[in-house]
Parts: sequence; C-alpha cells; structure tokens
Amino acid sequence: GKLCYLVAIEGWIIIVSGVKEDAEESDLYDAFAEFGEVKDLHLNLERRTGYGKGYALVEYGCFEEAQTAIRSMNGTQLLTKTIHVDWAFNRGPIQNVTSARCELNVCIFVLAIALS
Amino acid sequence: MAAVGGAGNGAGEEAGGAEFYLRYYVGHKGKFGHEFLEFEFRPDGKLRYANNSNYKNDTMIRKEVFVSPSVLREARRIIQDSEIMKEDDSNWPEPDRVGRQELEIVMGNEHISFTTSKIGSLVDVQTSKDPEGLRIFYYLVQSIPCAKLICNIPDL
Repeated sequence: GKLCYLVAIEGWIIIVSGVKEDAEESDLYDAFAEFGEVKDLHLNLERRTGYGKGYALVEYGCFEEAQTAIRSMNGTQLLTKTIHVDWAFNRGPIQNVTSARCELNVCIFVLAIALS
Repeated sequence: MAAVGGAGNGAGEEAGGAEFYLRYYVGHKGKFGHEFLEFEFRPDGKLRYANNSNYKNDTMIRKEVFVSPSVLREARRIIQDSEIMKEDDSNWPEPDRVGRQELEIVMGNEHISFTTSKIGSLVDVQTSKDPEGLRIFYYLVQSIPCAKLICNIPDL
C-alpha cells in the first residue's frame, strides 16, 4: 500500500532578480533584513567564476514581511543596478490570472512513501 | 479583464508569451533498483520533483509547487545566457552502468534533448571529447532557480 502525507509548509520566499554579479550575501541581507527576520538567503553563485548568476532567494517568516519587501524593493537600485522582486511561488498555475495575482504563498509538499 | 498573454492563448504560453519547458533527470539502475532524481518546469509554472531512492526502503518522494512568472523568466534568462541551446550531445559520453543524465528544454521555437552519462567531477568534463559543451551543461543544472531549493527541502 501507499501512505501519503500532505505537508503544508509556509515559506514566504521571494526572488530577487537583476542582482549585480559581484553582490555578496551580506549586501542582500543588509537590504532585506529591514523588512523582517531573514530566515534563509540563497545567492546563487556560478561555481566556476565565483560571480553571481543574477538572482537570490530570500525567505521571511511571514507573509506581511515578504509582501512589504516586495513592494519596497521592487524596481529599486541595489549596488547601482535595478532589481526586481517578486514571489517565488504561486498558489496555482500561471494562465489562471487570479491565481497569478494571488497573494498567498503556501508551498504544499506531498510526501509519498511506497511500502513494499 | 484580459488574460495574461492575450486572449486565445492556451496552455503552454507563459507570462512572457513564449513556450518554456525544462526537465532534468539523473539516475541509475543498480543493486538497489532504479535510483533517480528528476525535476520538471512546466509552462504554467508547475515545478515537479521526484526522488526515488530504493536504498532507503523504497522511498519515492514527490513534490509539486507552482513557481511564479518571475522564476520562469529568470530560468529562461539563465538558459539563454548559457547558450546551451546551441550545443549538441553527439560527442558527449553515452550513459553507462554508472548512470544517466537527461536534459530537455523547450524555449520558444527551440528544443534540445540531451542524454549523457553521470558527471562525477570536472575531471570527467575536462577529459571528454566536448569539454566546452559538457561544462555548460554541468554548471547550468546547478543554476536553475528554485530547482535546488525544492531538492533540498528536508523531508519528514
């Protein structure tokens, strides 16, 4: 038989794009920490060059903090370059216009364990 | 209210107005059965992840989330910048008993479908018949936004 666990994880994760390639995690942290506690920050680095790939993922503990960060920082300058900030996840598919504009950001993970 | 991308666009058209699909698979069939990891970005933003590790009591893990248009846009930009769409796998090592990797990408009118063996390290890349192409492939897989995130989310 199979057991399925439905796990709802509230991770309010935003994606910051247009990040300058020599930006460091501390630059991102300094810019985004004012909106709330940064639970996690991932600045994707090109391992070969050490330079950034141009985006970062920032996680807050609650919706309001992430929303404020998006509204405050989207279209602003970080290290002289314009960044764009948006939700990383949506509740539903993109072609559904209402869900693309949905403000909820709950990640649902399905864990299936097959028992032999 | 106008739909995103204009009226009449069906499934497969994301916010940017062009088709985008990406699937990556790495795995092998061995002593413990078929062990693999796969993630797939669909045009509507659905990101599916599957991890089958028979080593741990036949555990199949599946995860699904919807990523935002911003994530898809960033994934497309990274793929574009890497120029992987210009590469071809004819000189790449064939899959073998150690394992197999598959990368399939649809971007607008372009489509690639690559198959190769597992890459253990950069030495494998350097000593191959197409180090430039394999290197692009090797680094690209690690650069896709949210792919790493979903793979690393701890399971119960």
